[in-house]
Amino acid sequence: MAEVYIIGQILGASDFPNKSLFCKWSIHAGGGWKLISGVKEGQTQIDDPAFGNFTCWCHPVDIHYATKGPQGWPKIHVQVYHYDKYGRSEIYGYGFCHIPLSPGTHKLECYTWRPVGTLHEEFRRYFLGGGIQLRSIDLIYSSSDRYRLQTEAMGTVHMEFSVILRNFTKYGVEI
Amino acid sequence: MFYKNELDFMPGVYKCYGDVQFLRFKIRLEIIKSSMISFSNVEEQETGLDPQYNEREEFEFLWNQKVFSPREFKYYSDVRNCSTPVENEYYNEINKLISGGTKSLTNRLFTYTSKDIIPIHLHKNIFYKEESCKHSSQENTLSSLFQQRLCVLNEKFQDWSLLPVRNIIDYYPSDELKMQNRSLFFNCETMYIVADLSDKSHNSENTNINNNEHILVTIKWNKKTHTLTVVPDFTSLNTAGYRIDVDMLSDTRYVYRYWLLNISHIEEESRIQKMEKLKNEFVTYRTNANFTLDFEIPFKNTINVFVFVEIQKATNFLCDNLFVQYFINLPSDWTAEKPDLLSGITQLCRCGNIENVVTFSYVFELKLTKTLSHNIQNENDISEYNWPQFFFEICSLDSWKRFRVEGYSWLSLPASSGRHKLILNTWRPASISQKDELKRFFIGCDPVLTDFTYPGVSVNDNSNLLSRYGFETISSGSIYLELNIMRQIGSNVTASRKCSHLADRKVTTLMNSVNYILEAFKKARQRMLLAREPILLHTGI
Repeated sequence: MAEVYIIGQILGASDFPNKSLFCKWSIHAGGGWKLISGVKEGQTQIDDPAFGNFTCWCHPVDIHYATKGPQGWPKIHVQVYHYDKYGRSEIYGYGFCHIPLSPGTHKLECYTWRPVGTLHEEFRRYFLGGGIQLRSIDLIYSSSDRYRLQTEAMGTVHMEFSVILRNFTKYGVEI
Repeated sequence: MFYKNELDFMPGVYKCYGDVQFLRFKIRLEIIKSSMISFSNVEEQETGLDPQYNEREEFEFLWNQKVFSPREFKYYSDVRNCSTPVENEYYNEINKLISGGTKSLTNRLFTYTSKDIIPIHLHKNIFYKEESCKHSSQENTLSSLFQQRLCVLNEKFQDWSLLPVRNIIDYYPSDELKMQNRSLFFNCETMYIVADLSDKSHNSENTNINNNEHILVTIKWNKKTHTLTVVPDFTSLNTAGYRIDVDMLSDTRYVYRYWLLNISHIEEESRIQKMEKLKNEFVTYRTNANFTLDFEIPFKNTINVFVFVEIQKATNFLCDNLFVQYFINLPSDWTAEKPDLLSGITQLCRCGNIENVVTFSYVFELKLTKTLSHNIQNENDISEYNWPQFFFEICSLDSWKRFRVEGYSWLSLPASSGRHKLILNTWRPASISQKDELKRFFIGCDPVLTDFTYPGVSVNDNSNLLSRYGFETISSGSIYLELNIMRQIGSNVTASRKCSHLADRKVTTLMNSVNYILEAFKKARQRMLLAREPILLHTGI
């Protein structure tokens, strides 16, 4: 049995159209993975930077997995929401990235996008906020349906993860 | 549809400290023919216990208890209809009931539990009161549930087009859904209590009964937050109950009233709950401490290469609204576990508030297996050195549906494991004449490579020189990639020199160096013996 420790933090976000943001994240692993300890999903606070353009969350992630193979290596999935002064929250971006395979500390950038609707919806979104959302995130994981989406590039979510591997070399895995 | 008493028709949300298994509730359903109801019914029915009912049914339900409708009873009692494990379970249950001499437990009331297949569009009807739903005449009916289920059952025989086309985007997210999406991930078990409100007197079983299935109560249990949501809320018998009006074809009008009573025992809960909790804690502790997972080890003489690819973004392309198409070419001795992932296409993306950057964050993983053959004697055989190649094509599709190829790129799979950040620069074939350039600009017709693999090293070409002289290209933007590679080597991959190009294979290199030292030692010994011979001769020993 090999084990993986993922320790790190979701640092923050940049390049989004607005600065008052929060992020919902979850870590997804394949079928051969078993969560031993830690939480695999969470939500950050709403941060509105007073100075600069970097929304800072510093949200901790600490998770411990046992696995029977590298297949289905954990993926992190983030959803960034904008929280405005009227208390409304609207989707700003979806993003996916792999947790690095090699042990050590890694800086990750997750580039996000949002789905784009028709002209009428975009018009409405521009003035009233809101906008369209994905019905089910799972459909996006199964990449086959992805091509039907029209999206717009949004900002970047920055993350930092330290990965510790245990017992992988015992099973002929090169690290 | 529902005529509510002001006091109680609200979704009830309960925070429960005990386990949901202790939930017990009772439903009383009364059926009243329209001729017996006066129009000023609201005041009259305040007492609740109206003696004017034609038919009354009461049943006590447990959480997630499956109660079969007469129709399901008939359906599942036939083995031929049961293929999945759940259906087989139902079949066995029904057989037990039949052998016990009982028929269906209830006349009209039945349930759908979380085990049952509830199709996506029905979910939508139940949860999201969208505008489209509001217009539909049959609100909250389970009309097509059975047809849906039959479709799933007989999908081998049925046309796929009967199944609803999956729609990825929710164009009108309801307020409820928005609230749901922005909070943490929902993990609910749902149970529906449904009543079959068909007109039994007319014996119309063969007609479309499904239209008459009405959801009386929806109960949701969220394991994580320990909340129970009951729609509509529990009532007492003193109230008028909830009411459904149904118009029949035969000009009669039926009114159905029902009450939902909570009859779970609280004292009992706390004691058993403590026991359960202790037991659960013990079990989880034991499973966490003792479980083992057998690590998968590749077969002999094979190498598994796990590739986790992430197409992150593309920058500095001329046109907006881009997508990436990729294709992976495997040499003959490589196999992929899921060959359909060897080619793919990302979503369309246009620039946001930063210019010339489009994001994809498209992730996929591949499991590639390389077989090491020992039969090949010729060390110079090229096929041994072939390595998987990635081909990328980046295209744009604008609002006028003009399609342009923006660039081609190529990548050989990195040979070392670990994390690789790559930036691929792309080029596209140049137009030969001014006319073509204008064509490209106005109608989006441009020269395209006929061979997708041309950017890479052509495998079949036997010529000694890879020449592209005379081929004009224009360089365009770049694609940002991140590759994570992990290699796993089968237990006894022998130390053959053929594989030594896998530079950092620790086992191989170690074995090689040991062999090398042994060989060097042998040579040195022979040399020493040769050198000693003349000396021995001279001394005459």
